Amino acid sequence: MTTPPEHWHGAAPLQLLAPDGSLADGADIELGDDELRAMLRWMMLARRLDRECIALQRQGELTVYPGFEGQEAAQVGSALALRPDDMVFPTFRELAAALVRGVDPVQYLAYHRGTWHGGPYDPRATRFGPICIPVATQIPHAVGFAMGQRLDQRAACTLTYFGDGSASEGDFHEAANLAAVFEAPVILFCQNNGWAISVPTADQTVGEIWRRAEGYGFPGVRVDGNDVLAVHRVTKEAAERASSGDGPTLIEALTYRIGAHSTADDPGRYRDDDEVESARAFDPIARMRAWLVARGVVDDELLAAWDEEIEADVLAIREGVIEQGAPPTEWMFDWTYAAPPPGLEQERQEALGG
Amino acid sequence: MVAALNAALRDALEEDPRVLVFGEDVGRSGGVFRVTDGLQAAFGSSRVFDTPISEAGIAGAAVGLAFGGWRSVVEMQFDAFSYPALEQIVDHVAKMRERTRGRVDMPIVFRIPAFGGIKGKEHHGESPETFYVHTAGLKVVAPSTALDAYRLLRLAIDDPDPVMVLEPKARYWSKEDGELTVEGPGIGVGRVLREGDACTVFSYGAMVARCLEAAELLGGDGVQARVVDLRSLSPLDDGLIEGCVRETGRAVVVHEAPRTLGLGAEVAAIAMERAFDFLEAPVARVTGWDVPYPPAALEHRYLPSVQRIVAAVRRTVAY
Amino acid sequence: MAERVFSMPDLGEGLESGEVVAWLVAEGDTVVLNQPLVEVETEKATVEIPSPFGGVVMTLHASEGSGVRVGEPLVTFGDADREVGGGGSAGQPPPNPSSATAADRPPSGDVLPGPVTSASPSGTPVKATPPVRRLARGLGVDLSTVDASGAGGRVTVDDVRAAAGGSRSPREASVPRRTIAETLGRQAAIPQVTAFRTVDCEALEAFRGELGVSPLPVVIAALCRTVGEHPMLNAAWAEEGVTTRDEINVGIATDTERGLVVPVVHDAEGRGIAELASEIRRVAGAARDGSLAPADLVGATIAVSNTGSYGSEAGTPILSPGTSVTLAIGVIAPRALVVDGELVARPACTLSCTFDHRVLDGATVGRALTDLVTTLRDADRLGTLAR
Repeated sequence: MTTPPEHWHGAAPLQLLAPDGSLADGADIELGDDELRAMLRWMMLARRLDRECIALQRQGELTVYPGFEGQEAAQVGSALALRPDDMVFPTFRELAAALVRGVDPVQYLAYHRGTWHGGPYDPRATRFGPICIPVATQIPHAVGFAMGQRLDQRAACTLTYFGDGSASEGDFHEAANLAAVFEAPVILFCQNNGWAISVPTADQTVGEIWRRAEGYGFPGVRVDGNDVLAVHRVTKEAAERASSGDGPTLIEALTYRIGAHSTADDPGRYRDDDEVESARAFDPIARMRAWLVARGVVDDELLAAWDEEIEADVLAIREGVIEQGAPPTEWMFDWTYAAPPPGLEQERQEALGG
Repeated sequence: MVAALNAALRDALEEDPRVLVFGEDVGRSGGVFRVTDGLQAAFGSSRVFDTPISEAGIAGAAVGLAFGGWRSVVEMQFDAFSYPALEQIVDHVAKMRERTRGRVDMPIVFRIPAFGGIKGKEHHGESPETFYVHTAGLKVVAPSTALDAYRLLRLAIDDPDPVMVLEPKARYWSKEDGELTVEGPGIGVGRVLREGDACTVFSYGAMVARCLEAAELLGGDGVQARVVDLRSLSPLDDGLIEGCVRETGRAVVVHEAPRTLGLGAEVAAIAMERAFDFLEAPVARVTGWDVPYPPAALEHRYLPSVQRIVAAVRRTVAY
Repeated sequence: MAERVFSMPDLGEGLESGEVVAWLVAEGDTVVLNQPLVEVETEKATVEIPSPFGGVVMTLHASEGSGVRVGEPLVTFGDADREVGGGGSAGQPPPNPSSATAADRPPSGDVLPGPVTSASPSGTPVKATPPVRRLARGLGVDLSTVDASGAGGRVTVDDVRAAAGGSRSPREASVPRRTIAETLGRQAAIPQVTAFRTVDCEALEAFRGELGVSPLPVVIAALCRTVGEHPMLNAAWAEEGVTTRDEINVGIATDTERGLVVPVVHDAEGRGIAELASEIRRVAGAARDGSLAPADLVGATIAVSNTGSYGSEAGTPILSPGTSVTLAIGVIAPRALVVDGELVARPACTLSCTFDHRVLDGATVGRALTDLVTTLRDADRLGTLAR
């Protein structure tokens, strides 16, 4: 049995689906076949698109792109556990979650194409916040939004994604404390992928991240982030807690960042290829595929059909991305203020060469 | 002024059920300056509430609340304590509308007891306005009188854009007769408080009173200075600045903030750009020095005094 | 399928060039989209670049070990039928699928012009405040030749004015100025008299406000109507006697940098007020920037001067060559008038009408002026003027 990644040591995370594709005893999966197929297909699409984005960057069609290979289960499993009304506040690595939540990938990728910050999709309509670069700053947003939901007496929950590195930021601590004090219906979902650029989790923090919740006064959960079934379950439970007024949950999903921090990063400078190869033994897609094949929920023919459809979808997304050109100059001025001050109007004229 | 601010918050909470007032010590105790006194009792702790000490978290929560259509009026307890929230304010409050192409707006007000003159401890007398004025996407106002404080705070709360309201704490206990109303000059408009043709003195916040005093003294000598309360630092009333420089040919800007890159530099640039041919003298700036705000014992040697203002006007007129 | 050139992309945050470490395809190979193409080394890392197209590799533009700058051709793809090879240089390549960061270049920042100094031949800058400089420019005064009497060695307004009109150093009169001076001398010799009338302008102001014009075109229109009934105003003195004219060509006295110029609005009687207004604008503008055609300067049969535009209330204008009447319109401002026995504040102005006494007498002009004033004062009459 291959050694699991360093940062997975400590308390045993909830695991329903083992790396070899076998289900844990008494796992009692309540999901229907359609839901299970959806989980696998989303993960496959996400991975294929992630690799395409890296290719696009290498071809000069995207600026710096942060990949998420290896983290498909953590994002897909959690995103599928939410209801349409629930709100998500992401970082900059959640393309898989965005896909599941119905964000148009071409619009999402506008961010990485450099045509618009945040992604030009409507966060309120898609229930998916703008891409957020400064780490952990979206966590107080999520908590604030959840506070507002509570004031409006909505039985909905808010989920925010962040990494192990983000959990060191002051904004994480302040937001977690606020969430507890105001009993915010929020899920603080940490994808602990082992690396914050070049800093391994061991150098980022000493304690286990899920344990911090106790300090703030609400439950913390540790889950195998590469086990889509377990991720789905803990997220669903946390969502139910939140929407029944029982307050926040901190979920630490243990996963692994197979790729570089971004296309501008060279991981060869700080980690061994061996470590990455070892981590592949814990792949989220392989185990789900193996289990579903064994269970007869998918077969080779279906998988081949999916591969074809996914290729076509990704090619269409590629073309959509490449079509995107620079926005009109005046867009810089259109949304700075609800009503632009006169000075800004003059600047707009100057910028437009008037 | 405290009573006027309190009334403004009260009226805003009354008129719009989406307005929230929160910050440290604002609920139960009514704020360290009593600006939020009685509001929690009147409107309940869902709408007027205390927060833990987490300026960044509070500012971030206001962003999230705005996503949900709430209008937060956030109190930062003192000027320097707003700095932990600076990132949330600059990176998100100011940029969210543009980032989301107008779909998610940030109708948030940050109220900050600002400026010096109360012999306060370190960090309790700062002038942070330049950081905020320089941040595109924010508006910044600084009332100088009680009635205008009511007006500006009400307007700020109603504004769909985020507004930093810098309340001159040295003037918190000042009184002014008149009716509390939002009628009158809006955000983006300055007001002429004293007419004059020899020179225009531009100022805002607590220094306005000193400028008026200086103008009285000068008037006794036959030098009639026009005194302008800028009141809206972003957007600035460029037109008023231009008009005053055209008409009087001379300008003096007075502010507590350190000289370098204070609002004086901006007013001087505007005067030069828009009224160059009418300048009879260089624009003078009477400001705090380029040093950290001093201890109480030296405050009076730092803040623009009436004498320094008078001297600057005289020099400008004699140029 | 046409040729397509793939240029070296910006592989990361401001990269300038990359070195080709190893080609993974050869010229002539058919490749598919995203097939690994080449290994490139950058400052940060060695990266493998996947093919952006499917197609045939026509030309590899760099050899292993050589550097390629971002934006320069890396690989040319083409049709299977085309000749393969061609070495390192391609023709002018079509633009690469543009990098996302190649958005509009921001305009170069505002650069303030350098300090404007009126340097004397020896090169020392002159000290003067902005209004003084502007005055000097307007009067054509070279600041470096002016003695400075201001504090700190600054040239003052008085210094400039003294330099402009002082007897110490007479200013060279320019040719146009001399010509104007000679003409005025001749005109002043004509026996001429000025008659004055006060006009209640309340109706005029309302009327012109509705039409959105200045008072001048309205007055000219009214004047043309008056000339129709009093044609001698449009006559001129000549050797042979008095000549009357049918067409009314109105000279408009215009102040320019070069002095007084009198462009002519021809056939004013045939034009409506709006047309008069735009023609006045045209000739006045052309007069000011010196672009009047010779035809615009000749043929005046009567002249008008809008002296009110620079605040004059009344005056004694000098006749223009070829005309017998110059009508000066003073400033329209509130005045105390007696209307129906009551003292009222009304907008009013003074018309100053100089006439050639060889051609006209006081009574003729007086009657004409009465008619003119009656028209200008009466809303109904004004309403009958052609718009």
